[in-house]
Amino acid sequence: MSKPTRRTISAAKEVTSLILAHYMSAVQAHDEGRRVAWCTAVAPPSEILYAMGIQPLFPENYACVSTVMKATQEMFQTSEAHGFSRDLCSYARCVMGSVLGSEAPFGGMEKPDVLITTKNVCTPYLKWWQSMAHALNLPLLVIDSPRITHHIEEFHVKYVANQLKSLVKELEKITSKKLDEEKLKEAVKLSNKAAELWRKVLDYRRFKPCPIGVTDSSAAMFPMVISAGTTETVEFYEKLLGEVSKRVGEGVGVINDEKFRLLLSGIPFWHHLNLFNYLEDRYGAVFVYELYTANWGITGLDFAKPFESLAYKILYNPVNMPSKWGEQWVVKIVKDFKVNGLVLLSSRSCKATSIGNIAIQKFLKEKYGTPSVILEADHTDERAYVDAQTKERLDTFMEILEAK
Amino acid sequence: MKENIGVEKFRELFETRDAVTTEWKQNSGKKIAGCISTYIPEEILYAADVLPVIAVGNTENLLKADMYLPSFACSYMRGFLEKLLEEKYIYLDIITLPSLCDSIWGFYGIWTQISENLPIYLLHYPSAHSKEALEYFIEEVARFKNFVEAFTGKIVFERDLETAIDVYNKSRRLLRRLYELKKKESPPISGVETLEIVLSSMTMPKDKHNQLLEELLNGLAERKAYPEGKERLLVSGHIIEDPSLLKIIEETGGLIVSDDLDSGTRYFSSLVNESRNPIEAISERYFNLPSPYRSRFEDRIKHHIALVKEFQVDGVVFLTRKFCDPYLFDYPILNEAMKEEGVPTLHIEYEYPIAKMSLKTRVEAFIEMLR
Repeated sequence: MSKPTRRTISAAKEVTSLILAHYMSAVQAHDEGRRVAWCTAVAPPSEILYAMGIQPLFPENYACVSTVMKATQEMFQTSEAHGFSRDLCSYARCVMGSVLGSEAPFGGMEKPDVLITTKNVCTPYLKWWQSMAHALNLPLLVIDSPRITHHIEEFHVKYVANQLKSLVKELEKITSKKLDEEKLKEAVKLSNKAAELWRKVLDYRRFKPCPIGVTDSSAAMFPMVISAGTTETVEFYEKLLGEVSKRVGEGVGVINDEKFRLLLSGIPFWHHLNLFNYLEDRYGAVFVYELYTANWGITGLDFAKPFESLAYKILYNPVNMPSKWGEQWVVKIVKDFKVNGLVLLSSRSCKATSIGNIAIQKFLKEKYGTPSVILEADHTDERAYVDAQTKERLDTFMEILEAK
Repeated sequence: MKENIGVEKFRELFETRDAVTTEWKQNSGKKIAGCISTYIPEEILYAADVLPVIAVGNTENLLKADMYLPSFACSYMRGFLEKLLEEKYIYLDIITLPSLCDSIWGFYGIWTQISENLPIYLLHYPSAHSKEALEYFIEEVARFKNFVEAFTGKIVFERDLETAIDVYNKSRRLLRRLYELKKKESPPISGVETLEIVLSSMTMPKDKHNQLLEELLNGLAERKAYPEGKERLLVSGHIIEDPSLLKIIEETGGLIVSDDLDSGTRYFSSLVNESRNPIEAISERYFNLPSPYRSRFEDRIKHHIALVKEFQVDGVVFLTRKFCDPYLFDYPILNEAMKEEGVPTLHIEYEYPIAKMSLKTRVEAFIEMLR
């Protein structure tokens, strides 16, 4: 079998420099007398922060970048030496290592003036943030997000929106400046625009051959994570969408001979992103959707109601929504994107994204006949990953798909 | 002459809890709610004539649960699911759980998918401490009351809530009295025994338990005390559903005189304010519980230091359930705070079945060090 050519998206290559610029921008913010906030990364109130001249940084992103840079081992050792169990979220352990004095990329993240959590994903969204605030002796601002058991109701939205308004009051104290509501509306408008573009990019992956693969989309989601609400982000996604739509027009895919279309659930194992290449090269299998990257494509934000819109975005993420909703969502993607099978990444230290995998696998098989495979490792901690075993599981899974 | 009731009675009640509950249900014809952990405002259920039973699931043979939950979900939720799937919880009419952690939320998602006839209700617990968060929690508890009314068809009046508060506060006051005895130089009761008393109060009707506990307390003063000079320990952790965990610790020579456990002081040390609007007062009590799920570190640290002083504790044993994020995150900070206070500590991460030998060895070494 000849090795297929993999075509990377050139816009995605810019991400590395955008990330560098992002971490530098916090240093610059401090130089200019502006404030820095460390925020949770799923639907953070970045729009509010940018409108107030506060530079957000995202510890989750930092852990991910550190993993890709293969720089996490000392960070893990430091947090473990301080008593943080190896069973705890590896993003948290990684960043806590840096906070507690370990060597870390870029000399560690620029120290914040305040920490903010939206508590809309997992337990570490509170406990990790508490731990960082404690170690840094800084204030922690908590936006509490109720789990959605049936539908997002008005009282949920009102509750979160009111907290966002209180957040603004706290931040006004910290910055000694009033929020300019027009700037906030503009940021929400830009954020929504970027999300729409990102959503369109993801939608183009319905086409066969799929124009953009998992490696590029996992990189290309970063601007959405780190700088929703800026013009630069909108420009980035315009460029990306242009490139992806051109590919679709020309019938060009990630690889030449696309045989299988897969759906990815869970956080990528950042230390072994080449696992995706293995599937493309060996089996002609491409990922046409990731539940993870889709997290940052929440559209429909109404800039006239910025607080309610941001509240809705905070609540409306797959981990916070009911599992029945999640099942219907997955089933629809499988149908719309002509998915052959699912790869479910189970990260032992990430209960939020992994705890339902065994059940999802069972339901998909029994109710819809959709095959899937569970890979167990850890998204950040390479020590929990066994390459040969992981590939063996994939081989078995691909044999099943080939036999179908 | 009527003989005094002994502590063994409570062990028996706890060990035969399923039979006790089943019998109660048959006799009363009332509904039973399985509560996850100790954060559901039981008073609301009690006021609606529903018997709240704190979930105590399997601690061994977790086989059926493995079909749905991975090994890194906490053993409390896996054990509960196992018992449900084994059909040993057929007396339950509903499951109520608080949104405290990812294992609970994961369980909730799975149960809504697989259960056809046992409904489930999730009560939101705010992570924030703001005024908005408390107001929301009060609304949330009111929604819970409305739900329970619809579920039972019984309207809950203010006087029903007041009665429930009376019964529950009485239980809390009695348990406080019990713990007062543990402050003595030579307490008449061990940590295992108090755990069994608290656990039995969680799994049977409170009014009945109150009667028994009152009887016990009246006789306990005459009970032979444990000899002086034992190392006085405080255990800190989750709900401990298997008393043998504490038994191993006490068999090595220490005496557990206090705790920061869901199945201990956290279950009864704070009362519901009896002179306020019942729903608000109930909400505030649960909102302010010192727990790792939502408390600030400084509050937990203060609480630990206060317990260490009140009960003249020689050493603290952190008993952390494996994979339990809230406790694992709190441990480094609490441990450091204890060290700063000059209190020796031991950290044990446990999983069922308990690794008895290694637990014993570690506790022995710790007790040696304290001597």
